[in-house]
This record gives sequence, C-alpha cells and structure tokens, in this order.
Amino acid sequence: MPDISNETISDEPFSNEPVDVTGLPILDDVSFVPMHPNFLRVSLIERAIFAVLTIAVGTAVAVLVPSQPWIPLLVMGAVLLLTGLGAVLKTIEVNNIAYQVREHDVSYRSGVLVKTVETVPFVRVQHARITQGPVQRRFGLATLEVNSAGPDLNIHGLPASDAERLKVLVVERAGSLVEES
Amino acid sequence: MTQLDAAVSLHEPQRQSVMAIFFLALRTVRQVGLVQIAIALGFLLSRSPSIALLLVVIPLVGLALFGVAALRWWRYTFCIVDDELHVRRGVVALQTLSVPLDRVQSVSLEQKLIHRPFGLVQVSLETAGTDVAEFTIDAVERRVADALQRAAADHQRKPLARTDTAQFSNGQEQPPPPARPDRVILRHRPRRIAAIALTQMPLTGFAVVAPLIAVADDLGDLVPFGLPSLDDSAIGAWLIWAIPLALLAVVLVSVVLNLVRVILVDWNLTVTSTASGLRRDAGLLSTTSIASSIPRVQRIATKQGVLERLIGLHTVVLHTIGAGNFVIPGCDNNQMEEIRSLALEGSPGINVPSRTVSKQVVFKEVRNTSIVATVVVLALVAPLGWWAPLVFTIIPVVWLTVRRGARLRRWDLSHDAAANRHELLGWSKEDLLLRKVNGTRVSQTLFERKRGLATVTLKTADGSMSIGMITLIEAQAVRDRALYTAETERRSWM
Repeated sequence: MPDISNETISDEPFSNEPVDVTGLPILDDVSFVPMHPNFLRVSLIERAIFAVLTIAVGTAVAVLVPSQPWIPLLVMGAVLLLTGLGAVLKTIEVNNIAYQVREHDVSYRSGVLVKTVETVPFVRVQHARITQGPVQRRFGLATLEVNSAGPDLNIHGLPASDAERLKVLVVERAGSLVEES
Repeated sequence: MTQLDAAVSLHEPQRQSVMAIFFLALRTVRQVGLVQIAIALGFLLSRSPSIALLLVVIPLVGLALFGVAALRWWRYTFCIVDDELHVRRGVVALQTLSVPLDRVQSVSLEQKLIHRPFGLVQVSLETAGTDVAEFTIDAVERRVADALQRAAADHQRKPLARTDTAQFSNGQEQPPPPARPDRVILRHRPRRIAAIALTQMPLTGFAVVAPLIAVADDLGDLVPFGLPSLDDSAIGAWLIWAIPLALLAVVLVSVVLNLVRVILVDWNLTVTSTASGLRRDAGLLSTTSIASSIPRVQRIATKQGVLERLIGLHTVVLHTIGAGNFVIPGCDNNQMEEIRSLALEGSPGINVPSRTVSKQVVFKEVRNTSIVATVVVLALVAPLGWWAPLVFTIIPVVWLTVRRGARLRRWDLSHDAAANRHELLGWSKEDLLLRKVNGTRVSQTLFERKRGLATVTLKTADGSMSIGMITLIEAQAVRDRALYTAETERRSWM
C-alpha cells in the first residue's frame, strides 16, 4: 500500500482546497480474487432445482384445474424463461465476481449489466456471518455476510475454509481497530 | 448525574402517573383491535337473550380492563442505576429491560391533548439496533421526562468530549469545552408557520380530499343546479369551465387542510442548541419534543422549493441514526447556516459545490423517453387515431427539464466532506462528513460503461448519498478518499 504523507491529506481544521487524489491508496482492479469455479456450478444447479420445482407445480396445477390449463402453463413458462435468463446472466457474471481484502477494508465486485464494486471498512463492521445452502455444502462453498451499521456485503462462492478464515480476520480486525480508536 | 434535577431522583424506582392507567387500557383495546371489538359487540347485541345481561357484562368487561391496566401500571417501574435505564414491567410474566444510556438514540417527549390538563407527557426512547426494542412510557410528569431526556443526552455527550480534546493535541493540551447553556436557534412566529404551510406542496391536504372523488356521484346530487350528463351535446362548453374550477376548488381545499395540519403539528416550532445536542419542540394541541446529540446526525439535507425560494425560506433535514429525523422547515438563511454548521461538527463543509456531471444524461433520458413514447403512440393509434402522436410532445418537455437539471447539477469533495446538489426550479443539497461513511459502492450501468462514466454511493448508518454520471476516475477518487477518511479518522462516527 502506498505511503500517505501529511502533504496529501491536510489536517488543518479550516481549509477547503481541491483534493489531490494522487497520494491516496487506490482500490485497484488487479488484486481482486476470483470466485471458486464451483460457484457457477452451484448457482446453475440451484436454478435447475428451482426450474424442476416450477415445472412440477405448474403441471400439477394445470392437471388439477383442467378448466383453464393454459394460465398455470403460461405463468410456468414465464418463470422458466426468467430463470433461464438468470442462468445465462450468471454465467457471464461469474467472470466479474471477485473479492479483495486490504489492510483496512473488504470489497466485493459483481454484476453483469450494472457492474458494482462495494466496500466496507473493517472499523465499521458490526458482525459477520457465514451461510451455507445444501447445494453449497455439497460443493464445499459458503457465503460470507459482512454487516455494518449501514450497508451489508455478501461475498458469494467462497470455499468454506476461506470463508471461515475471512470471517475471523474481519471480526478480529474490526475488534482491534475499534479498540485502537 | 450532576445535571439531574435535584427534585427528581431517577435512581429510585419511579412509577408513571396514575393517568397512565387510561393509556394502558387504551393500548389493550388497540391490541385486541377495534374492528374485532365492534364485531363482538354486534354479535352480542344480535344474539343476546336479554339487554339486562348485556348491561351487566359490558361494564364488567370494562372494569376488568381497567383493573388489569391498573395492575400493569402498578408493576411498571423505571429507574437509572449505573448509567443504565432499568424498566421492570409485567403482571404475570415479569420483564426486566436494561438499556445502557449511551445506547439511547433519542428521547422524544410528546404531550397529547389529553395529557395537557394534567401536565403530563409521553416519553418514547429509541435505541440503535434491533436487539433492544424501543419503548414508550405513556404518562409521566414533565419534570421526570425532562430529567430522563437530560440523563440520556448527558451520556451521549461523553464520548464526544473525550475525542474533541484528542483531536487538538498538537503540543498544548486543550481543556474540555465548558458546558454551554441552552440557546434558542429559532422560534417560529405564527406568520412564519403560515408561510411554511403555504409554500409546501399541499399534497397532505389533498390526501384528505382525494377519497371524496370516490363519492363524486353522491356529491353531484348535492349541487343545487342540474349537472349535464356525459352524453349531453352541450357537455364540451360546460367542461371548459367546470374542470378548471373543480381543480381550483380541490387545490384551495388542499391548501387550507395543509395549513391546518401545519399549524397543529409545527405551531411554535422551536429549535434549541443544548449542551448535548439539538432539541426540537413543536405542536399546538399535542406537543412533541425530540432531542438528539449532534454526532448522531449522518447526513444534512437543505432544500428550497419554488415558493420557498420566492420568500427566502429553507427546509433543513438532519438525518439521524434510526427513525425520527429532525425536520426544520421555515429557516431563513442564517438559521439554516447555523444548524448546518452545528451538524457539520466543526468541519467547514462545502458551501458551493462546483464539480459538474456529464451532459450525457440528457441524451440518455431523451432516448429512453422517446422509446417509451413511441411504444405508447403505437398502442394508442388504433383507439385515438391522429391524436396519438400528441404523446410525442412529452419529449421536448423532458429534454428541456433534464438539460436544465444536468446543467445546474453540482457535487464536490473536500478533505472531510462531500456535497451533492440538484436544482430545477427549487433546489436541494446534501452534505455528508466522510468519516460517517460506513461503506461505499461504485457502479456502472451499461450506458455509463460505454462512456467511461460511473455512479458512486457513499452509505451511512442512515441513508446514502449517490452521485451519478461522473467519470469513473472521479467516482473511484471519491470512493478512495471516503474509505481513507473512514479508516483513518479517530473521531467516532456516532
């Protein structure tokens, strides 16, 4: 991380100079860690399960209410179409999903149409939580949830051991930084 | 505890005023539900074998209600021990609630009409987080409530005083600032209150009038002269007069209703700067008093509507953690600046933001509007014929509006603050101290990505500031500076 000298950040109480951003630590795009390759598999399997359930429910309703079978079938088709579209977008998005841990904050990059980079500083972390769905567990993946008083950060597709290590790191950093200040 | 009123000792368990029994009974009624009670009553009245039985049962139920309420009142005590507020309540199951005073976000006092003859107030405490429920003390004497408010405010101030001295430790030791006496920043006279009401959009008033539209047919029957029906050939000439007149009437009624509302809610609006923060008192029939410490303010919004601009009034909104923002309408320039600089906690802030956003937003909006308008016209051609293309007139309107908005749009970044300003006919501006930032987000839509633009969002514990259509480099610079400030700043964010 580049050194921050006092010249770049003015500590005078009453100045309002234009900001020189050259000396600030930059959150660069290179150091992001991509997701585990199994993440795409997990998302696609979860969607496939959802699609199967949708087909089952749609068909069941169409059979049980035979007077107008096209209504549940139409709804089913629309849901399946959206799920398929979501799967395609996820496949593209997976190349963009990545996280980065720096000394003082954790960032998460995601999105296909709207690409976003979200960052939460460790000092502001209230708690962290790991969630693991059944499919995720099968593939040894987990989601780390970092909660602050403001925004929450969800880091998907971490290997379970990494998620645990990252959680400990986040919580410890948060605790030590709060004690320092 | 030095500031506690000598006459009121909150260290001893206190009970609410006896009047609270009434409020507790009322609350039970509300919990059961008025509708359910009405249904039960209706059922009883239609099925009951005799009226005499009812005459016995109903008062008995009422008596039981008050009996239970009285028990609940008797069992409800509160006191302050070791900087914690302890509340004990419950008749069957005993409930003990302990809230550290420095966790209390705000203490609101409200005096409803029914409280007034007895000199009582209702106290609502709001705490951060979801683990401690917010709670209400229904009726206590004013001086007890004041003591509670002051005790909570006292505790909110302590961490601030400590960090203040740490901040100025360049060689000589700065003594902690002496407790300032209360100072009234503004007290609105009736004329100012009327001005506030008249410069507001009378939407609230309209909301009251709007349901009348549903019964328009019945209202029409009340009009003394004959109204033409829709298939009448003379309807066109009649409508030319009737529609504007009806609109005018609706607007007038809405304005009057809004005036009444503002007078009731904001009468004698007073903002006081106290040793521990700000207090806002207002109200005609029921008065409300909200107190909050300054560090709890996360964002500062100032705005001027078109009409407000004509008479030089501003509305200031201080967004504090949790519900219960400070909304202070009708400030003149000095009052606005004073409240704003108080909330900025010594930072100069950004008075006149000077950075602009990309004009590409005009193209985007006009393009999107054109697409939607074309679809609408195609859909309307069949039923409306040649009238359908009239929809396209929306495009120049959107173009002019967005162009003006984009031209007047400003944002800026200083070493410790960010500002964001929108202007069309009125204007609104947001100020944010960078150390209050709890998280950031830089996002690029497809449109923005093609043009090297981005949106940066600075998130605080109460709402966020979003600056869109700026270059990616600027957005990242804002993000990096906000993160740097949040990560290195020693002063607390709340």
